[in-house]
Amino acid sequence: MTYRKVFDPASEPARPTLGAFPGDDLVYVFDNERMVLAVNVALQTGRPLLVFGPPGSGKSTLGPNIARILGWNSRTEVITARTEPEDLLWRFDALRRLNDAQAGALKPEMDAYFSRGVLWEAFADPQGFVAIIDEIDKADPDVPNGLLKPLGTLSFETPWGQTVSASTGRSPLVVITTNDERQLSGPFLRRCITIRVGHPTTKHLLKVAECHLGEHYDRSLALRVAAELEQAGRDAPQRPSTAEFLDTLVACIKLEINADAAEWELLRDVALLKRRGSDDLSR
Amino acid sequence: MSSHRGALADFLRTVHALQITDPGHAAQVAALLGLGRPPEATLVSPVISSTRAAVAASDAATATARQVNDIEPRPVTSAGSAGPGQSAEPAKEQPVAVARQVAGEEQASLARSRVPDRAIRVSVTRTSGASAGLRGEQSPGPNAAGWVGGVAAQGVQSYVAPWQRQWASGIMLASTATMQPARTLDMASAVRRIAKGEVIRRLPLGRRLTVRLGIQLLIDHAEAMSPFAADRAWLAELAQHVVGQDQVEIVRFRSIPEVVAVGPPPRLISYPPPMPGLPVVVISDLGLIGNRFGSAARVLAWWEIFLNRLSTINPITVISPFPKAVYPASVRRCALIVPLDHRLTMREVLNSASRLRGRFRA
Repeated sequence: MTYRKVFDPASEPARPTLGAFPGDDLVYVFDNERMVLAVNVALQTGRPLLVFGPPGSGKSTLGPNIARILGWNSRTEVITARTEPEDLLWRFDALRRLNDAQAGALKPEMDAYFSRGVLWEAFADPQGFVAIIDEIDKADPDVPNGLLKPLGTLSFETPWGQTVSASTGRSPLVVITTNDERQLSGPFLRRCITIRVGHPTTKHLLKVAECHLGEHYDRSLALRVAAELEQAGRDAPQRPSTAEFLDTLVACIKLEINADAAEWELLRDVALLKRRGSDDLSR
Repeated sequence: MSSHRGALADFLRTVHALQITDPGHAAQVAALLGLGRPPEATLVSPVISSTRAAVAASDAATATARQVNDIEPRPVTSAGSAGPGQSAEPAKEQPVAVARQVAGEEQASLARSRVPDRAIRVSVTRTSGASAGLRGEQSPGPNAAGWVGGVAAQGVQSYVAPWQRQWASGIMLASTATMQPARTLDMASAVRRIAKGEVIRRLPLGRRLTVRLGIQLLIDHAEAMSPFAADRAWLAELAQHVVGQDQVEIVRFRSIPEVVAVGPPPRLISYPPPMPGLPVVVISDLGLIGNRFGSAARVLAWWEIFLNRLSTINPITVISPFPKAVYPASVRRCALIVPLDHRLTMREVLNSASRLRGRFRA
C-alpha cells in the first residue's frame, strides 16, 4: 500500500535498549496495513479513531504506541459507568473552592478550581497529543453524545466562557476504544474513523512474542501456547487474549517451566485458560 | 409471515381499544387488517380442525347443528361448552331448514378458512414450531431452554418496530434510566444553605439520569403475548444495546413471574428478587389479553399485588402492547407504563417517569 504516511511504524525513532520484558506501551506489532491506514486517515481528517474489538486484542495499548512512534504526549482516560460527559473536558473542585471561600482565600481565576480533562490537554497541546478514551461503551449513552461537539469542532467552551481549541496546524489524535457492549449513536459513529481489531492469528501472536521477549523468545514454546489459545477459543465463547498469551510465555520463561514439565497444565490453567475451561484452581 | 404477525398484534390492540366483544365485528377488523384469508394451517386452531374432522365423520344434521353453534357470534367453543373464563350462554335454537342450508354451505366450503368467524379464537391460538416467530424466535417449550433461547435467533427481513426507529433508543433509555447522584455540585442548593448560615456537612450534589445500575428485564412468554414475539425480541435486544449487555439480567416467565427461566445455562428457578433500587422492566400485557379473551381473570390482580410490593424498593417499567389508560389506577401508580405505540416520544416517557419516580429521589 503506497501513500504518504504521516504515521509510519517503520520510521520509528531509535529507542534506548529495552529491558528483558518491555511493557505493552513500548512494543506493538503493526502488521495490519488497514490499521496503519486508519491511523493516518484519522490524523489527516482530525477525526477520532474508534477501535472496536474483543477484550485483550490490543485496543488500549494502540494509542500509547501511536504516541510513542509519533513522539507525542499521551494520556489515557478509562471510562466507567460513573463517568460524566464533562469529565473528559474538565473537573470542577467545588470542595476546594468552598474551603477557600470560607477561609477568605478565594482565588479570582476560576480555572484555579478546574483540573483539565483528557480532551482539554489534547486540544491545548500544540506539540501534538494522543488522547485515549478507553472503553467508552461502559459509559451512559449521554457521554459519547456529549462529545459530539468537542470532537466535531475540536474545541469547547469552559464554564467561564473561555474557548479551548486545537491548534490549526496540528490536530490531536483521539483514540476511542469500545468492546461493543453498548450501541453507540449514529451521529457519534459518523464523526469517527472506525477500525475493528479481530482475534490475532498465530502468525501475529508469534510476532508479538518475538518483539516482547527478545532474546528469550522460544518459537516452539510460543507455538505451543498459541495452539492452546486457539483450542481454548474453540472450546469456550471467550477466547484468551494476547495479553494472557504473553503472560503465559513470560511465566514459562521466568519460572523455567516448559511444555513437558509436570506443572505445565497448572500454569496453563491459571495463566491462560483461567475460568474458561475445566480448570479447578483448588486442586 | 412477518407482516401477518404485525397485523395480528395490531388486531389485538384494535379489538381491545375498541372494546369489541362481538366476533362479527372482530372478524371485520381482522379483514381490514388483512387477516381475512390467511393460510389455514397457521391460523385455524386445533379445536376448529378437530371439529371439522368430526363434522366430516358424523351425521350431516348433527354436524350441521354443531357447525352452526361453532360459527355463532358467541364466545362458545366448538363442543358447545364455555371456554375458560367465557360466559356460558345457552345456544340459540336454529330452525332445521336454516341449519341444513348452512350445513350445505359449510360442507361445500369445508376447505375454505372460516377465520373471520373465529377471529377471537385465532388471536389466542399460538403459532408454534417453525412458524413461531417473526424473528425466528423459538417456540417457548415446557422447559427453560425453550424460554432462554428465545431472543437468540434473529434474521427479520421486514420487521416494523413498535416505536419510531430514530427514537427507540431514547425511549428505551427514558424507560430504564433512574435519577442518581452526579458528581457536579447542586449550586443552587449549596448557595441557599450557605446563605442561611447552615453548616454544610455533606455537599449537595446534582442528579442525573443514568442507566449505570443496569436493569432486571422480565419477559412474558405467555401464549397471549405470542403475537408480540417479534416485539419482545426486539425490545430485549434494544435494552441490551442501551443499558449494556452485561448490565441486563434477563428473566423469562409465563403470565406471572413465580417460576422463571434464567440462563444460560437455561434453568427454571423461583423469581429472583432484584437488588434494592435496581430498575425492573417488564415486557408483558399483565394478563390483559387473557382477560379480554376469557382466560385467567386473576392474572391482572396478581400483577397488581406484585407490582405494588416491588415498587416500594424498585422502580418499575411495564412495556405493554396497550396504553396505560387500560390499566387500573393501582398499577399506574406503581409502574411506568410504556406502550408499544408508534406515536410515543422520549419526552412523553421522560415526563411520565419524572412524575412517577419523584419518590425515588433520595
